[in-house]
Amino acid sequence: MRWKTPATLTVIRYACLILLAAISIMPFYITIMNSTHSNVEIARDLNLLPGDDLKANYEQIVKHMNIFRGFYNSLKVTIPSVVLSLYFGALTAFGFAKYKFRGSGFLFSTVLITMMIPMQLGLIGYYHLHNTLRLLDTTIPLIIPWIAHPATVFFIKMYIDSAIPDALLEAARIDGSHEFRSFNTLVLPLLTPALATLAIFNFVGSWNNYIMPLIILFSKDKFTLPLLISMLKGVYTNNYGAIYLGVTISIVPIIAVYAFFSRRIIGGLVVGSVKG
Amino acid sequence: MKRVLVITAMLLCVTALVFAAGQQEPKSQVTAFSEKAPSEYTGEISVWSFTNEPEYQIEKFNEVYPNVKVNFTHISGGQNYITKINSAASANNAPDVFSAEVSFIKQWIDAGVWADIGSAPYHADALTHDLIPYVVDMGRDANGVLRALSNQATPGGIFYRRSLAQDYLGTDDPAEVGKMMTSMEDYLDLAAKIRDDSDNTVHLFASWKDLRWFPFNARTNPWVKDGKLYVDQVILDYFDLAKEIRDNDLSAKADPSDPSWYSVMADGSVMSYILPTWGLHYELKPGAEPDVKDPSQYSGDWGLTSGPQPYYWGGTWYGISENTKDPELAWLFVKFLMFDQGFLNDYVTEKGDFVSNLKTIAKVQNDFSEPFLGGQNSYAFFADSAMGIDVSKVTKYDQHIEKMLLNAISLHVDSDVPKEEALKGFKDEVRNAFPELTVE
Amino acid sequence: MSRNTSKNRSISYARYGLFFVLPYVIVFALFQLYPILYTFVLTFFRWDGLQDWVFIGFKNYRRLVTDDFFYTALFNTLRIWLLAAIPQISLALVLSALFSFKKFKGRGFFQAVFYLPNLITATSIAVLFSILLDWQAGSVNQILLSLHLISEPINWLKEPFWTVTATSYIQWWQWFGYTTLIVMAGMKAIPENLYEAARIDGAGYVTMFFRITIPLLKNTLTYVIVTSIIGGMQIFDVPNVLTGGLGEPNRSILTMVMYLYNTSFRYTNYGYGSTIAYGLLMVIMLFSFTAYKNLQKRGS
Repeated sequence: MRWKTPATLTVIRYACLILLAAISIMPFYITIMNSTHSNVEIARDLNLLPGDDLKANYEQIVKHMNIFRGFYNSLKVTIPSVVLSLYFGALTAFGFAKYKFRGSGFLFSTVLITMMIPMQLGLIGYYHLHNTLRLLDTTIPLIIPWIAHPATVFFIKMYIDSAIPDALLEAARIDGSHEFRSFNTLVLPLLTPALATLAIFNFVGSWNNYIMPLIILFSKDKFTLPLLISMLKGVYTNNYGAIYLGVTISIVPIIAVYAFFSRRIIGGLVVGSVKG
Repeated sequence: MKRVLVITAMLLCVTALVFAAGQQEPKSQVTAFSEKAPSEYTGEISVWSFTNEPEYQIEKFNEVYPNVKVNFTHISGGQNYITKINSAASANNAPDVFSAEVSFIKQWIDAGVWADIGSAPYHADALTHDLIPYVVDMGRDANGVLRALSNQATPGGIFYRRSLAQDYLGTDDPAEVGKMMTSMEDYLDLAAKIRDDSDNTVHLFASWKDLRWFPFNARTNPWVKDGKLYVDQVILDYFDLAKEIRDNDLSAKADPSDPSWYSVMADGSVMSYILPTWGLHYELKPGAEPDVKDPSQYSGDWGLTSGPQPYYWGGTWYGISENTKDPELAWLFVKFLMFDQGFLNDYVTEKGDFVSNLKTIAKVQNDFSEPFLGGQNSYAFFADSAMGIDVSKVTKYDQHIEKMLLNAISLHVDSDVPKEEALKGFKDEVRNAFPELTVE
Repeated sequence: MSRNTSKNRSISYARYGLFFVLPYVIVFALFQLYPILYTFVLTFFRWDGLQDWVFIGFKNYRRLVTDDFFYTALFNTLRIWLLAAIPQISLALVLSALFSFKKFKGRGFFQAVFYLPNLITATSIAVLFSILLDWQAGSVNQILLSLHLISEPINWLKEPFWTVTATSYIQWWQWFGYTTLIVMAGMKAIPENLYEAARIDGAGYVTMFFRITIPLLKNTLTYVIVTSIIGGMQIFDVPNVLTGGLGEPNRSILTMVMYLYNTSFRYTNYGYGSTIAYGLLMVIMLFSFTAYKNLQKRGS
């Protein structure tokens, strides 16, 4: 303990953090409050207190759709997506980071470039592709492409570059470990903080994905949550109360995943072990 | 070099695939459908729409035709819906029946993604005399071929608060109030009077944007004629009008669909709203008296009258895909929506919406009474105004051009950009979005 | 330290690299390449999305290089990005340092809460903000008025200056927690003994931050900055919802993706929309590769 923080500094630090926390929680809080209000109340005011329309909004939802089916559909798409993106992302990143094979530079540039392509424009081609492959109205186009998720590869490669020394692999080779086995048993566990971070990002990305399922799916019993929630938009006016309730329901698993994985990133941070 | 070759080869393959996918399949050759008992119709069709209205329609349809399975997909958010239909249609994969809103119907009619339902095997033209003429006209392409129909008509009027009318105009009678609003000048004079009499606490209308349908419908030229943009004098005047309204506090400064628009609707500080048939049910009722759960609780403090200019706003049309595999069932469904008297009667009693079928209108309009409007017969009012609607000036550009124009006027009004500059920005935007048009 | 052996080894093991990246390459080729090439072919055509393709050669490209709207959109996008990214990355660094170096009450809570804005879809957030920022009835104006910070309500979404400010703010707010999370994950990779050594040498937190943390975060920061450029250049949902789609007032927040989206889907000019997409791709590549090269060179 060589650095004694003056009391005023502590106060300022807390004030800033509390302010930031307040503006971060605000949309969440308002979303939850709004789920208990009627359409007009939401359009008219900022609702800071609960209203009495929760039941009406819930009825509105169940009248039009089976939201729990949507929940299940979303999980069925999101969980394999996240698992595939993390495993193959790590594998690909490892391949790029630790091996210099012919064309690796070119391929890695391709990874970077794919990230830069605005997703909106591939839509029509994407539809035609899956129409030709007879994959429309299936979940395959929503899951398998996650194997080739460029941002995941980029992130993990950056992490490997700074966290996994070549010497580690050399040592494993000397011990007679097969490369693939080294990856699975040695490298993968060391990537936990990066994988946990990406698990959150990719879960959120897949869970909230709207435009791709919109283009691919058209049977209501296959719809994911964002598609169902968007169906609550009414004829000429929006059913805001029900939409917010739908959003509230759909946030729950995200929070759960976040709480679970964030501990893996944040918990026991390097300098955290230093008793300050 | 090898890389270049590989890429070129790939490009060629892609191009080939794309064009292969563009091949049309041959269409069926039936000339007319034979009549069958309702239960003899069996099979499945798909229906897509941008609203959830078909849920109700399909429920009613299945009460009559229990063996037809209708798979409905609701895709909300106008642009997403258009994108989804366009991608499906360009792959010859469109659903059997799909709907369009007035703002994008012309795009699909001009492109011919809907089948010609006027002639064989559908023969809708033999039935269309039962519908309000403008509804049918809207569904025709440039050559008069009928491709879509609507079960609604959406004429508009001016809804006003009777209590405020009584206070500031001395009467709440729809005919008397209507007489005070026969021209834009009258309407603005009235706005000034109410502003003064209320010390700027009550306004006649919420925003200059609410008035848009009057200048839009007063145009003598379509927005686009022979590939050229026409900006009529009424439109140029609308810039000044809007500015005058803002600068002189003639409105409540609450733009349509903004949160404040709803709050002034409920708190009684704005006297009138310019809305069409559906606006009564979807905007005004929930907006003005949000706590009412049962029609008998309505205060009846609203009236409906005609404004300076007849207009219509919105509407949902249905067409049958060019590539449908089951034209008979697709037509059965569309025909049911437009012409089935049992369904239409239920629709009027249960939803209160205004239909396009003249037979139904004739049946209900004599003793219709709307509790929200203090028992006023809104059906008879709308029936009158619907017959006068002319859609000959509608083009596929309208919704885009009108949106750009309102933005330009808003710039003049809200950001004090000079009129000429705002107008030039508007024309630049039109020219850029539609390079095929001549813009002077 | 024998350079030779390590080189020999990496050659002999190189085929494993190819084997490891193969699944990615196959899936990429199958699912992503086609839409990309499809878009590329489209740039040489005029197509309304429904009728036949019309070949027009390089006409779309000729239009792009002289298109004022494209340059306006480029400028707008850069402006929003700069106004959001600089405070975002700086704050993320400060917060990560604070969380990493100090143990204080509620640390875990704050860490968790800052990421929350990123969990809700951008569209919902934009809808929420358009209600908050309403001119006459919005809470933001009501709060500012009651605090006497302003005397007239600000027309947030109708005056270009405020609209740009509001958009950048939302962008900053939505992503600062995300950036913090990444930076913290990067900090975790810094070996603890470096700090121990520095501490023994008597270094304070500030010195440690600039001497150890920042240099060793090079890869993380590269990732943050490059993805921020890539993401920032593609900003779409928030300005799209806030403005009703055309980037008004006065196209001040018409971004590049909005422009290509409108051109393709709203005005059904898919050929030119694709060309804008490729123009945008060039811009993003230029910026991000420049950033990548510079960041990777520095300090290595």
